[in-house]
Amino acid sequence: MIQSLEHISGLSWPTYSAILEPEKIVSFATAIGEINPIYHNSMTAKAAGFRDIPAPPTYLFCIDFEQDRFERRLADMGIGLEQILHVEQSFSSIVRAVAGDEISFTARVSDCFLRKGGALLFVRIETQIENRNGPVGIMCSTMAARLDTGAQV
Amino acid sequence: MSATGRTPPIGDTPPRLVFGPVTRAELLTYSQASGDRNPLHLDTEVAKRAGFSDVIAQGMLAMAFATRALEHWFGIDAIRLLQVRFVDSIALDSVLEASATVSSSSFEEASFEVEITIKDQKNVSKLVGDASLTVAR
Repeated sequence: MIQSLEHISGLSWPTYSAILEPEKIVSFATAIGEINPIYHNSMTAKAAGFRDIPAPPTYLFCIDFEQDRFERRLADMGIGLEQILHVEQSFSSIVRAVAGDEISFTARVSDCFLRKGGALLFVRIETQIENRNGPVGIMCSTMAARLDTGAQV
Repeated sequence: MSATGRTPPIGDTPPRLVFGPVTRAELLTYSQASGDRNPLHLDTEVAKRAGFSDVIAQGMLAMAFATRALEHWFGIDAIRLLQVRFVDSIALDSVLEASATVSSSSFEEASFEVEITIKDQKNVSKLVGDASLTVAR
């Protein structure tokens, strides 16, 4: 059951941390067709001036999906995965995260509103990303949830 | 790589880049590597129930193509900000083309902004975005 706008707009989630695994970064780079060797080989990345294999810019978004975090956030709103479409996404990057970094993520609902006479619910989740030294960047995801199955986004 | 050490001029348009065609196998590989298990991208029946003729590509796969294009054009580690809108669903077998135009450029701050668009082979926009970049090291 969909939760109230007041409930959803006040949602935030505890900070969690993850260590970026080189194997997962390489798998992700392969999946997006990125063949630049800095995304596949630690030596090449270091020779190019990175501390280790850099995370492709959209990789950190994937950490959100680990351990069912994304599904559980939707459940906290009363929304099912099959109801949503991803409509907007942004990230800002202050420093590049690389393999081996311990990265923390702190997510909250930053906006939430209804459209089309209440048939569509738009939710924006903002995630602050940090490493041990400070801010890495911010991600924002905007989802549209069909509350009425016939609604077109 | 281009633009090392200097900002590109306003109106500059880097050469278009083509991605795809988008295959079912690619959507599965992206799902596994990203952890996005939304069945809309994997299960034809779920996609049909949602009103599509078959599975559609993950929006984040298109955004990843946009970052690949920006890094190819302007250098690894150049992107400071990227905001995109997923304006239309991406069907199977789509051939995607990324294009961009430099919309502002500051020599003093070694930074510039780019409008990026990803269209399919029918010239329908699928992703539109704005990026802020810094001159590659």
